[in-house]
Amino acid sequence: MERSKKKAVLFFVVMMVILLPPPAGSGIVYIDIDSPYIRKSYLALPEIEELGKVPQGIKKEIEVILTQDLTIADFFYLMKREKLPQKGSYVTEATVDFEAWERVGAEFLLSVGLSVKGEQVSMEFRLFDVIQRIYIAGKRYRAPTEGMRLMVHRMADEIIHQLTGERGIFQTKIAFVSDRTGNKEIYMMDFNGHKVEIITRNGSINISPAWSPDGRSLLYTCFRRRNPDLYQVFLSTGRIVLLSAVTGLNAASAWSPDGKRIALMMRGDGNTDIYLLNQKGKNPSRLTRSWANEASPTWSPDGKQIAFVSDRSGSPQIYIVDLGTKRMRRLTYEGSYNCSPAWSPKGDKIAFAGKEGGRFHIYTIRLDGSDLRRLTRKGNNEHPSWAPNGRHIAFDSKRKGNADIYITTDNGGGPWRITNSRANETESAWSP
Amino acid sequence: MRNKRWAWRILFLVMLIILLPQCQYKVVKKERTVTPEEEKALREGRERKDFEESLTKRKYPGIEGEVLESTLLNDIHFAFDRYDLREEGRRILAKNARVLLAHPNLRIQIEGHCDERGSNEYNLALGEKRAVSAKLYLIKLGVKGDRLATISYGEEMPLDPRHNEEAWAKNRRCHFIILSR
Repeated sequence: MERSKKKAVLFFVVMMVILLPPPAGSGIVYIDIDSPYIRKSYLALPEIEELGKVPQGIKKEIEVILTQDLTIADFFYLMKREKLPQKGSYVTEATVDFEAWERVGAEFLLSVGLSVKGEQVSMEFRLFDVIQRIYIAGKRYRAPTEGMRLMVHRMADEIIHQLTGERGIFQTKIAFVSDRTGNKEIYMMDFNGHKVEIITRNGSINISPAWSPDGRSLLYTCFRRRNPDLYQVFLSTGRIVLLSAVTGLNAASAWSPDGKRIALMMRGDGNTDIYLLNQKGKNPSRLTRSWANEASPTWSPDGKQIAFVSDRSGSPQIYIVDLGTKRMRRLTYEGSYNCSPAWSPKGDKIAFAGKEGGRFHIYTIRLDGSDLRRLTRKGNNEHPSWAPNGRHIAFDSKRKGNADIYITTDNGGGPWRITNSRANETESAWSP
Repeated sequence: MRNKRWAWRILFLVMLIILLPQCQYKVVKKERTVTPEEEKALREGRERKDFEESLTKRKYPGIEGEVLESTLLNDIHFAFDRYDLREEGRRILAKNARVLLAHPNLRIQIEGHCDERGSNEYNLALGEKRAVSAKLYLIKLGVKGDRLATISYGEEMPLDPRHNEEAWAKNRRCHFIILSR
């Protein structure tokens, strides 16, 4: 209850004020993320300007959050600050010297100003396309000190949206499993690993968190009743509902994009099949029917197809079934162990974990089986999960001995480690 | 009528032949009094005692209820990503089956476990398959199927938490617990 109230307050307190009439370039996409030739741009982010008195520490903290967001966005080379012009001033559309910025090689310029009045933090930014000499956007934000982090993420989301048209991911959450209490519980954190909260607290084995499409609840499987049963937990109230408790597996659930059905693994005749339930966990209907094992269903964004793992060929491989025609086809042929498919929210690719040379790596593949790409280079990497932008992917990796959660992009960007504990953090599920 | 009388006579003779030597035996060697029936009873008593002594109570952390484990019901092991029974597994299952047949009230749960490699969701399916393999073999050996529950823990309950071949081999197993008796 406390948590939800706080969230609501933050939501209303973080205010956005659009400065000035919309600039000339509004609506233009400056970085075409769908271009196959996308390359990183040179972004000049001069030191944040203090527009009034700012207590110590705040500026530094905001710098760290903003720089991390813009780094993980993976669109930019952040330029070294020593050589930047117009030092010691908050650059506005009135004062910008495009020529000077172009001379040092900047393609985009992001100028940020900061002031603090009592408990209120105010920030504003101006964003410029240096090459085209366009003032792209500028906005002002205000929030109480405890809402500062969210405010910076909101600003970073706006900057990415202005440049690419893409919905930013900096206010999203990642659910995951950690054994830091000695058993596996479900947790949730900001996309960058901050603000870790425990969601289940039952001392049992809790696995496979899966978001409802509205982002308000999680499905997970728990062994508390000496059977892997399916539960739903509502995040704002903490209310828990037992959804499916058929003897045998009720596991690896995935919510349909329209929120009306749940795909999951359940016991068939001596083996595991994919079943569909309604949103209350009732009316099971069997989707696959074979002597083989089926696991890990993932929905296409239009809700018409499901990809899953099957070992019907003798080894675990990824298959796609069309829910209308019930036609099934095999997607992966390379490698002897491919698992954990995750359908991209853009719909064009499936990420999965595959074994190569005794280790697991994260791959993407197009729906016609072409363009197989390996995204990871080191360690043992498992369980990919897409961010809602269809570009970032969270996964867990044992590259440092214990398992931690990392983020990469569909270009193999980063990777950025976002959890850092001596426990094992696994099974990340990125919020919608 | 005649036939029946003859039948009685023959039966009487047979009884005499069976019982007489034993009477003698008893008279001659008083200290050796063990009949086959008694011996069987003794053996069963011993087995019951052995079985009782083999039991330990077990509470799984975070899982409701208390179960029993018996040192007479041994684990069986599997190869990586396989659920077929190996020679040794079949031998152990035959022993487990004898225990189950000797104690017809036992209801057990067969737990399928996997090593940590591969996706934990696929391993849930694999663990289920391992448990079912063991169950089907026990049924083949005469144990009633309704006494054999199965559960898959996938890779969630390793016996040996280390990350090496030795640990993995131990962790790919079926474990047998007693739900009720």
